[in-house]
Amino acid sequence: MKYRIVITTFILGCFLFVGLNAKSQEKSIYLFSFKHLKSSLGHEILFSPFLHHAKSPHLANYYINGGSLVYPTAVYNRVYGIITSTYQPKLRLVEFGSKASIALRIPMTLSLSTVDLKTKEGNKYTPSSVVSYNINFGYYEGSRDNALGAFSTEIGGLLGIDFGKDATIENEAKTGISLAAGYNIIYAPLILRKYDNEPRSAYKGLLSWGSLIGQVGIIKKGFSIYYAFGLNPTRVHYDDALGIESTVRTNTYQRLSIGFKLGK
Amino acid sequence: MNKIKATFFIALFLVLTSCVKDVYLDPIDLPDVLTSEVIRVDKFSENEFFSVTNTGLYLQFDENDYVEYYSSDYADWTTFDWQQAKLSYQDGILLVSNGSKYILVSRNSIKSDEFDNSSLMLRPSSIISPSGVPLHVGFGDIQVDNNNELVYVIYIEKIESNGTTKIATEMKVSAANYDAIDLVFNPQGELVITTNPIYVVSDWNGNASNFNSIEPTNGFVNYKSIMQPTVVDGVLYGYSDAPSYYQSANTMYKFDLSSQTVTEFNLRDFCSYPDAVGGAEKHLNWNESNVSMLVPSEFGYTNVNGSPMSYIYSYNLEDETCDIITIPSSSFVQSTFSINDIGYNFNSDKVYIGLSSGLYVYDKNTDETSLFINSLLSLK
Repeated sequence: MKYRIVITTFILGCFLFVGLNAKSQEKSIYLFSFKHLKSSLGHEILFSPFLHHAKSPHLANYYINGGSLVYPTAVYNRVYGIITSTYQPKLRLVEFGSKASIALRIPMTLSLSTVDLKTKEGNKYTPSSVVSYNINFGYYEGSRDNALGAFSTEIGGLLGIDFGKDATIENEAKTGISLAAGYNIIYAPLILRKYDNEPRSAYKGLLSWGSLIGQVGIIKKGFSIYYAFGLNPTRVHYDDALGIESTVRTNTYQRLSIGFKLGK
Repeated sequence: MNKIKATFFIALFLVLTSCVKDVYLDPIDLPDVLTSEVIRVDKFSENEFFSVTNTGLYLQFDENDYVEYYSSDYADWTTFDWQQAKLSYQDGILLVSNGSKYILVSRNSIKSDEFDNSSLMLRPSSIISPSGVPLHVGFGDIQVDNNNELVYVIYIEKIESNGTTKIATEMKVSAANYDAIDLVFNPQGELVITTNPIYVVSDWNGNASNFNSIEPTNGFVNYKSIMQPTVVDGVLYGYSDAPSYYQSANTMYKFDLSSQTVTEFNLRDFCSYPDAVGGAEKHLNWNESNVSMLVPSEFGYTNVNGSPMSYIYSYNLEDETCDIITIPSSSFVQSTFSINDIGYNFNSDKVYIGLSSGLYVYDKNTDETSLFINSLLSLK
């Protein structure tokens, strides 16, 4: 329900902006046409050094033995991007004069990242069966010693509105603003570290997830800055083995990128 | 227009920041008695089973539906011989008996007591009736019959909420056939006492005066008793001796009650045991004329994953065929001697293994062993 409110608010706001801008400046509305495909397309490449971090939704439970009670703790897949690059083509669907446009962006991301499937406390989840060692140490789960793997990839679809620079091909403003929201699918890790001979199939359902994200951008001459963020995070409340309440935020996404326009 | 834009940004900000979803993970109360050393485990059906450990007793009625009682609820916990005790389970009521002591376990209570010891009750057995009445049957008096032969008189003790009643019956067994008694209810609800002769008692809930005596007239007529019996389509099947750790069993009987013919089977004729295996040490369960039993490996300690730790032999006494489930070693089961007990039922692909570190499940489909508690967690 909340997702619908977010999306509806955002889309209504976009149309409100565009309508007001268009009305006040009495510009024409141009719809996308394949005849003018070239002028409707834009290309950017974005880089995020150490500024890319994502957590999956709560995917599984890691159980800690607390005597007569067993305490579930939230397991999530997390990605720390070391160097992340994103190719982001843009297609202007509707142009409102030369000032604003509604555009579809398809960000495609490849990240040199570390990936782990873990709890907030650092317990590393594995689908391997629990062994005596784990039970002796109070865990009803198997565990790994090292991170799950490396490299991740993402693909998304973002619908948004652009103002000012690069909103249309004719716009010559010095600065532009972009607001967008959509869905992003993450697949991580691309390279699975070998541990206990667990095949990739054993991690089915734990290595990819999708979530709603928003993206704001400032476009200047020669470069741009984008901040992408998760729109539907989840706060998981649980008790640790001492009965102390703890929380962890999952289904989060943050990527701060510097972008460069490709072509005109 | 600027006011509208500002309002939109504020609304968007408020919506975004209010969109955090809250999820709560509550601690799970699990049967902690199953994480201590398992003394015994028995499966009655796919989901019904019983286990007793150093810290308590667990009785499961269905998935995620169980009771547990702690050893502190029963003063004689440590002196009661759980491994040799006779079990009888009927619709959520479990009777555990050994010698003169018994424990009655149900969803709401656990009761331990002694049978009526005001008079002799030799080589007894106990069973719970289809209506939930615990019965204790054994030999009471020794008499001299009309042929001047010594005979033992069968006594029946009923345990009811308002007390116990113990009656001497007219059912007698020759001293030559004196052996341990065993009991079973046939599909008609009659009590079958598997001595030689067989007695089928229809008014067991009254004074037990209405009974049929079925003498073996053909085949192996000199048996003494038939242990761990079952009755299927007028045929009674059972062991020559109750399998136990102290006395492995290799011989079974088939008693056709209408033709009064007894057939003796040597299980080794159906399929041979691996080397260094003695025989069945525990009866597991019946399914029609199929019987399953625990046959431990005698190889002992091994570190090699996949080495046989124990076997479950399932025999079809009509077809004279057998099927074998091998329990392999794993990170939990590293020695034959580490297995305290095994529970298995024909209606399930899962074998329950009782170890010193708790109860484990071997899934014969996946060939994996895991902690039983984890299967409960997956249901939460």
